Amino acid sequence: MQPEVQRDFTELVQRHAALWYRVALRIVLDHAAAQDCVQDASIKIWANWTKFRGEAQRSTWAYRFVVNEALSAKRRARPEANADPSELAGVPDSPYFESDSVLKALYAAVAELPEQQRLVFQFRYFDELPYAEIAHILGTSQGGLKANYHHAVAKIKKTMVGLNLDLHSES
Amino acid sequence: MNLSTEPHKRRDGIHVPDDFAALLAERATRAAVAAEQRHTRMRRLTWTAAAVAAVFAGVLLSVRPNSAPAVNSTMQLSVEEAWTALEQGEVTLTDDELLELAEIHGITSL
Repeated sequence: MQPEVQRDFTELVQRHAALWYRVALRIVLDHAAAQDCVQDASIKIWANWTKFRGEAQRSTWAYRFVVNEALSAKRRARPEANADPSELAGVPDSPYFESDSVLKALYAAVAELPEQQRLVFQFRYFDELPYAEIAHILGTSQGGLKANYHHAVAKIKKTMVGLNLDLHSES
Repeated sequence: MNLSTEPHKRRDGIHVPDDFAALLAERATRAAVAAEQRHTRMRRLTWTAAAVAAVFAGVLLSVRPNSAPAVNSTMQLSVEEAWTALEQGEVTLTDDELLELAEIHGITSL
């Protein structure tokens, strides 16, 4: 490809690698697997670079590859690797994850959610993404996302009764 | 662009150091470009192999001997078939040939 196209790609990766890592880590919950997801997603982003049609921001389009890669990696992972009966279930295993008991409890509660609700909650609460952008990433409607977020927040609040968490409950 | 790339938003408790992010980006970029080069090389090899195979097949077809069955100029007939052909006037034999044929096949009455 043209050198300027490669430069654009390199800039995109440099700007978003940390964010992609965080997104992937929250899904696969493993430091090494999250790095693999970023790398594999980058390969696919570059391979599909010319197929971008501009329906969303280039970075939103790329975000989708990372999410899909992380979800695929999670599904490929052996079931016993995901089955963690300890209180740390759903908590990322990474040297860059720092948490207190409240955040750990929040992660554990999020892990109990169905996949779509979990993703919407993470994008909305952790990343503060607007629904329009989440809709592009997940390829779904904003109405459905709002309903999923509403259900997710309700379930998490129920799980975390007594913990003073500032959860947005807008719908 | 609404996706935050700023490190101050760490609601998820994940704090990615700049040096790790830079290393991750470098690895990802390198892997992507290397994968594309591998893909291009594979595609070129595939096309080359297909072209060579096509040329080889063409040469093979052009030098291959005709496989159609050769026409056999001699034909084996049974006595009955020969006799029937003679009776129907499809072949004409001289008297000597007729006697010889009768003698060979043990025909005593003509």
